[in-house]
Amino acid sequence: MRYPKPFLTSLLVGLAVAQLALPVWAEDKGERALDGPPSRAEFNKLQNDVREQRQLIIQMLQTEQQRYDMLLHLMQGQGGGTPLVGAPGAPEPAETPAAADKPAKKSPAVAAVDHRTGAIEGKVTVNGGGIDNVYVYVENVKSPMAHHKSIEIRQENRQFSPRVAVVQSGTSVVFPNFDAIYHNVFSNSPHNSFDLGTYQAGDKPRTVTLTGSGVVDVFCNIHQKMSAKILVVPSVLFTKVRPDGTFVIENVPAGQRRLVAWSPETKPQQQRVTVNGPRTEVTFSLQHEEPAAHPNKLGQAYGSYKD
Amino acid sequence: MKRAHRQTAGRLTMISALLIFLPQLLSASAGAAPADAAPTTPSASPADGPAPVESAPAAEDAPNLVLPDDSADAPIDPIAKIAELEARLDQMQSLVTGRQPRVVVGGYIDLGFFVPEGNGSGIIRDQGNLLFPQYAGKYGWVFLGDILSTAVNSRGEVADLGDPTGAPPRFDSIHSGGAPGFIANEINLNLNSGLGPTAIATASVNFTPRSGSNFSLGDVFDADIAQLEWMPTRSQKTSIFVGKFDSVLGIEYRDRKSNQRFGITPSLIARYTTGTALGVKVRSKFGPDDLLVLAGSVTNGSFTQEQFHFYDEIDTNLGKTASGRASIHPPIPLDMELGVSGSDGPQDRSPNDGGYMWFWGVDYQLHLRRVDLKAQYLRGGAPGDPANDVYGLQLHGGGYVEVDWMLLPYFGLLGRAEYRDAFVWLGDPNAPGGADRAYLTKSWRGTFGVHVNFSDRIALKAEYLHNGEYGGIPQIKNDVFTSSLVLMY
Repeated sequence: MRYPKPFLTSLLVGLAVAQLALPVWAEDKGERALDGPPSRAEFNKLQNDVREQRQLIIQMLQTEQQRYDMLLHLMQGQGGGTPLVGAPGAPEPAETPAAADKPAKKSPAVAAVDHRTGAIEGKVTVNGGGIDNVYVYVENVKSPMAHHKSIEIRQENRQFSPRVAVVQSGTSVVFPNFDAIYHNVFSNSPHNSFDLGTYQAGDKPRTVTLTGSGVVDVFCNIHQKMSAKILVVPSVLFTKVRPDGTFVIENVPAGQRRLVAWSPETKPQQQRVTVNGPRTEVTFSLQHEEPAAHPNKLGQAYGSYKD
Repeated sequence: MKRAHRQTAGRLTMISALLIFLPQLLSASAGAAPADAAPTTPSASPADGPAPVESAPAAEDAPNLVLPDDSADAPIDPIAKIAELEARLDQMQSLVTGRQPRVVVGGYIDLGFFVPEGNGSGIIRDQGNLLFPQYAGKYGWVFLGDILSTAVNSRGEVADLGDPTGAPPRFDSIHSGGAPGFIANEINLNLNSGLGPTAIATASVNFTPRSGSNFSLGDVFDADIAQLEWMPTRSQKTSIFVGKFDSVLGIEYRDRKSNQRFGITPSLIARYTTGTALGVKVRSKFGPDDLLVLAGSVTNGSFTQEQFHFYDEIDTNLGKTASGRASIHPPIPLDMELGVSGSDGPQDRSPNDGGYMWFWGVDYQLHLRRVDLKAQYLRGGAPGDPANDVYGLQLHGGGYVEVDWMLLPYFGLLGRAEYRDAFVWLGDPNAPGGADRAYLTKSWRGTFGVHVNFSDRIALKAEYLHNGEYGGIPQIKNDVFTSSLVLMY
């Protein structure tokens, strides 16, 4: 087939131009994608992405746990498989009539399986301070986030009340303002930063849901003295230390566990323990620490010239 | 024949060029699409999948293109994905934090409307010394009442300074003559800059549009705060101030500005305690819940207000003024504060250090949930300096009790009762011919006000000031109604 010369020439030129233009266009689009600092909308979107992914992970873990429990149940051939503590979706193991009639004597296999959980107990001492508001929790065991759970931290008399709270991740915290003056509740803590804006008594209380584990330092951007600490724990495996310093955490899954002792007036302390029996002992010695000044929500010092 | 050869050669050339260009064109367009879909980030996981061998030449020829991601079929690692997203979140958070403004600009606009009684002045002249004959021959002019009692705004500006008889040239900023009127009380610009985690620079400038005269503008601006605050300790309970800063005396300095004051007008003793002075100040808080607070300063002059007779910004004498305050917050289930303060130093505007101006007072504050109770008492004195036209002062006593009550979240009431017993003179009454003038004040005042919060940035306030006189001074028509709309930004 014969093509006219002008046609071929034109085609050649067009291809040459296209070959030059395409990489430039692609590079330009790529550069545009990287231009400019991220906007607050992009930042918020990314935060939402992280939350959604976290929910997905928890659901997948839950599903895995359900499968594991069912497998155990099948292996045992009778009821009595214990689901992970704090996993409400885990199905209740169905007891067969044969299992119900059998005596309580356990086979070695079942006995070994019963030690899937154990209790961690011990004592906490605080050097230079009191034993109030000391908590111990298991850090590397996660359960599904708390749903429809909330606590209230009031703003009254220019202070938060209560000033210390311990909640499971996923819990919502409501901050009603009972003062006749404005407050601006915020936190710059990693994984749980928020800014509730300025509102006063009579305005609708504002709420934040805490999803990340760790300590959340809560302040008011207007009144420097207002402060509260919220410890967000990843599961229900936590307890408040008794006045005599002792504590017990039940139903801790067997294995390597990271235990954290925390109080608002001390540095947190972490210890690794191996749960492989019905009881595991651990002791903590915490050191009292004077609180440091905190910046405002812009990261600047408050200044006290109006005090 | 030659022509046929040329044609054949031309066609062959074109076909060869096509064969060379076309593959490159196809590979370029294939590499551009993945560059749009997967922007590169520093935290990109290497677990995206190995590059396919057949596309390696294309990657070498087009280094800007991202290799096609063929891991779509591979199982997603949610843990890694979470870690990646959280890392990006941390990076974005630091970016957002880094973009925070270095200087925070704030301030307010204060607009008002006032209605004075009489001629707007708080004083009358004792003509012929009929009311107080004991001053005859000692003071050329005797004025009765309180010249600053007819305040219309938080700056303490009065509706009118009144009878200027014998007075040196003075700036009557409002000079209403008793006429009601609208007023732009003040436009404030406040700048705060964190100079690090332990230091803040603060500046406050006020613009006041006023009537001019003799073809000159009457607009005024003043810088009332220009300070560095340094908090050297870890707890930041100790602050060192350098520059022009707030008073150490009493408690009224805390809400002297319109956007901080519950009401509108200052008290009758604010003129002695709410000025700002140049120098160095230290404040420190001790004990749990700031049980004890100590503050002290060394300044050019006193903390009297700038427009008052006794203030001097730049010192004209060698000595400096020392001021201090001690307050306690009793460890009881009430937010209460009790303080005592005082100042002493060579009198402002006098070039010699012979005469000292002093003040001392006590103050009290109680914060309940919706009610604030404040009280203050002050005494003071200054000998004056007749040779240098410096006024003398005998503040026999002055004080106030104020109750601020937020009846509803958005609506509050104010009530204040106060008095001032003072004698101010210029000159030497014992000199031949006597002193130039004297102001005898035995005044009391009842103030009633309302406060409405439309939002955290808009407040509307109104006050009625009922001024009264005692101790033989006749009643002066010097009541004032005033209002203030404060817009904060």
